[in-house]
Amino acid sequence: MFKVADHEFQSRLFTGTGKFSSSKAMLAAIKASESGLVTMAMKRLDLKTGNDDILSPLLHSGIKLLPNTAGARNTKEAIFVAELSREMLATSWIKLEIHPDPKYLMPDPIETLKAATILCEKGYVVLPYVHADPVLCKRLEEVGCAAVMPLGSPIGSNQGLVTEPFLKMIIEQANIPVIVDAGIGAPSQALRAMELGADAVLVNTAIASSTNPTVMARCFAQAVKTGRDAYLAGLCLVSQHAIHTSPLTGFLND
Amino acid sequence: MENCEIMINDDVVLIPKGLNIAGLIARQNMEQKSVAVVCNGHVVPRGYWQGRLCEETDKIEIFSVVAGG
Repeated sequence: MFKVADHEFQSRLFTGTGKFSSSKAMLAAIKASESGLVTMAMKRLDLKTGNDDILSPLLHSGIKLLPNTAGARNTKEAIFVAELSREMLATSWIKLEIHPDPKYLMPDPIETLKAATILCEKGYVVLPYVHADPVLCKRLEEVGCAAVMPLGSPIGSNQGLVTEPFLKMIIEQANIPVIVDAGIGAPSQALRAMELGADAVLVNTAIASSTNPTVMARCFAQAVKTGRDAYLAGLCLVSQHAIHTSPLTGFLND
Repeated sequence: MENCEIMINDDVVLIPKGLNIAGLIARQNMEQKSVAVVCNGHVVPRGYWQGRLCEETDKIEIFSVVAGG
C-alpha cells in the first residue's frame, strides 16, 4: 500500500512511544492507531533504577521499530547512536534527528545533511527529521535518504502545520516519501497534512498526552485515512471570489 | 577469585578478573537482547561479547531503548 525503502506499510500513521503514562497505555494506543512503525530513543542505562522495559512488548507486537538519534548534537554523535541502535535492535533503519537547541528543538540542517550522507554510504535506511526546507529535502533525497520528515511545527508544541506552504513544495518536488513529523496536535491537522499529499504523518504527543490516548489514536487513524482519500479524490482549486453553484438566471426581475 | 574495578556508566563496579562482556551483562541482571555495550567509546558487537574480557582500565557504557518520538 505504501512503501518506505523496501518495507510496505498498511497504515500511513506512524507513532512515537514517548510521554505515555505507562507501557500498557502506550501499547493500547499503538494498537488502536493501527500504526506499523514506532519510534524510540537510546539512553545510557541507569544502573541503580534501570530504564522502563518498553522494548520487550514492542518486539512481541511485531511492529517495525524506528530508533531515533535524539540527544545527538552533531554528526559524530548521531552516527554513534545509529551504530548503537543497529547493534541493539538489528535494524539499519534510523530516524536521524540532530537538534542541539533545547528550547525549540530545531533540527540542525548542516549536521543532518552531513550525517545523512555518511549513514547512507554505510547502508543505513535514513529518515531525517528536518525543518520544512524544500532545498534541504531535495539534497537529502540526492544523498540517498529513504524518506524525509519535515516538521509541521516545533516538537511537542501541538501548533499544527505552521509550515504548510513549504510542506506543499516539499511534497510537490519529492521522489521519496514525505512523512510530516512534529507539532501535529489534532486529528484535523493530520488530516490536512494527508490532504496536501503527504505520504504519512508521525504523531506522538497529541496521542500520548491526551486524556484518552486509545480513543485519540483511533481518531488519528481515521483522520489519516480520510485525508488520504480526499487527496486521491482531488481537492478543488481555491478561488479568491465566488463561483456560483446554482444557475444565475434572474427569475425575479428579468 | 581476584577482583578488579571497572567503570560502568560512570559508576565504579567491582567485578571478578577475567569476566567477559556477556558475563558482565548477566551479572548486572540485564537481558542481552535489550542492551548495547560500548567499550572505551567503541560499540562492541554482540558476537564479540564472549571473547572480550573486561580490564581494569575499561570504561564501559551500557545503553538501552527508552520511549521517544
